[in-house]
Amino acid sequence: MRDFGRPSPAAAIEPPLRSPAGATSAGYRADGGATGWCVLRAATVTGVGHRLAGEGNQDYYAWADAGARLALAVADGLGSVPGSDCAAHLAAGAAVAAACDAYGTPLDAALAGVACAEAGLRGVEAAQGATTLIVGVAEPGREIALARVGDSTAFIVTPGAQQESESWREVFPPPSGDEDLVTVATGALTATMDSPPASIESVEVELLDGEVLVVVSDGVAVPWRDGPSTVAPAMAEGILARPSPLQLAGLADFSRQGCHDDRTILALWLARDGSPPADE
Amino acid sequence: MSSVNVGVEERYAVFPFYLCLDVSASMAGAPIDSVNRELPLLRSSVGEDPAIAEVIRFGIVTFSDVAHTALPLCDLSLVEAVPELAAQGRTSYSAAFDHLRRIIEDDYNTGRAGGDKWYRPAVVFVSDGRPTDDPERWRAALGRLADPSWRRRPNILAFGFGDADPSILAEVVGSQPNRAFVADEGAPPSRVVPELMSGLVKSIVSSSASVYTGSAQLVVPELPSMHAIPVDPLD
Repeated sequence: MRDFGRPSPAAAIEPPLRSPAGATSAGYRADGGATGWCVLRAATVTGVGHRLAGEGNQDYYAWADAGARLALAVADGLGSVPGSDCAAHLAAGAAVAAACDAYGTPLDAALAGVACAEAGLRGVEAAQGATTLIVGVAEPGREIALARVGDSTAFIVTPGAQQESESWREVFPPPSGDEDLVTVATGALTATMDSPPASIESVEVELLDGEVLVVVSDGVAVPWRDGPSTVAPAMAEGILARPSPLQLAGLADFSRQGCHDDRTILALWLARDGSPPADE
Repeated sequence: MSSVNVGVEERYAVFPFYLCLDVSASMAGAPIDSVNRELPLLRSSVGEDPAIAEVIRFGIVTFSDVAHTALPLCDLSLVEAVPELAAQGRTSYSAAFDHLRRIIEDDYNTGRAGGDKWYRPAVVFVSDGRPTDDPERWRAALGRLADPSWRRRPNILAFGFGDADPSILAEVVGSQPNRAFVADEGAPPSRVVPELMSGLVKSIVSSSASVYTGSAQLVVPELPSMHAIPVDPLD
């Protein structure tokens, strides 16, 4: 486990051994692979807080490959609402399935993914919980569309930047509000029928040669923003090296004071000319 | 960990708690003795758990005729002992509020220079009596502490026992529901104070746990011998 800045003493504590029975999702997951036109890496690690409490990972990622369209999603269940790990699982799965099946542009598909995830959560009998969700839809030769509810976000990592600060940029506006103090308001999809519809943000982005789209939960996004001289450059460098799935999980599992949330990273490389992106 | 000084471009989230404790003469005897017994337990409970200590900063302000910083805002894992408190003098709420306003601003600036990013600070205000200073004066000081245009204004929880006035405690928390509490009738300070300190530890633990999961909250302690002061709805 690498230290990024001040290490977290809590991250060094051996957590209690959890029974796998009844766990909604794996505490640690890593996947990866290529289609003919893109390469995907994905990893999620349980945060220090949940580990020490003997609880599971409330983040979940999913993707669906429809040949000429790839849909991917990251959902971050809200720890303060019971059942949110299930909500994250349901929302991410429903979103990528719907986004792959949807007609229209990648943006239409990403928005459909979010809408179907919300409808799906509300439609499941006895469902409970709340989750943030970000859905990405990529097609060969087109801009990538992203739609989200809540504070999961996406970065674009650029190779060969002259300065460290130019090696990454966030595609959604970072959280606003009080510049001096941390704000904690989080939008979410909920399983509650009488809650108002979620507010959806969307954006379309183009990846230039060698750039990587990185979709993350706030467990990664917050330290990435707050660690411009430690976390951000290490993440950018590690991702540009196209890590294996397990290396990506290791990259996410860093130690940093006060950063104890679950962490999820999906990284996507595209070939602009339709051929598979070359390995580094 | 917090001894590492970093530039302001690197930010580390901490959750500051200020215990603002009435040490006027009426606290002499069993109440202040209970406080002095319980504070070391609070220090060990919070300071010896790395998961809590790395995100919580804790300070103690005492007030009577004047207000003092008895324990500067700190990482409790680095504190070897908390100071013993003594009771004397009257109950100046204005001294407490003005002192809090000043040290919160100073502590924030010091922390920010060291790379800390703050969650909104929490003030746990504990009093066993009514303010002895002029109402206009303490209300003006409270107004400065709770000034909506002051970005570092704290969330305040107020706890009263003995001769504390529920309506005044409600004012201290801006008449927000479930922020002001008063001891049940007949509950002795010897029972209330240990419960309060134990509740404060639970509040800090739960609040720090909420930081871990990405949705920070100030968690209000549950106290068996105290009840929330009802807040009248306004027309």
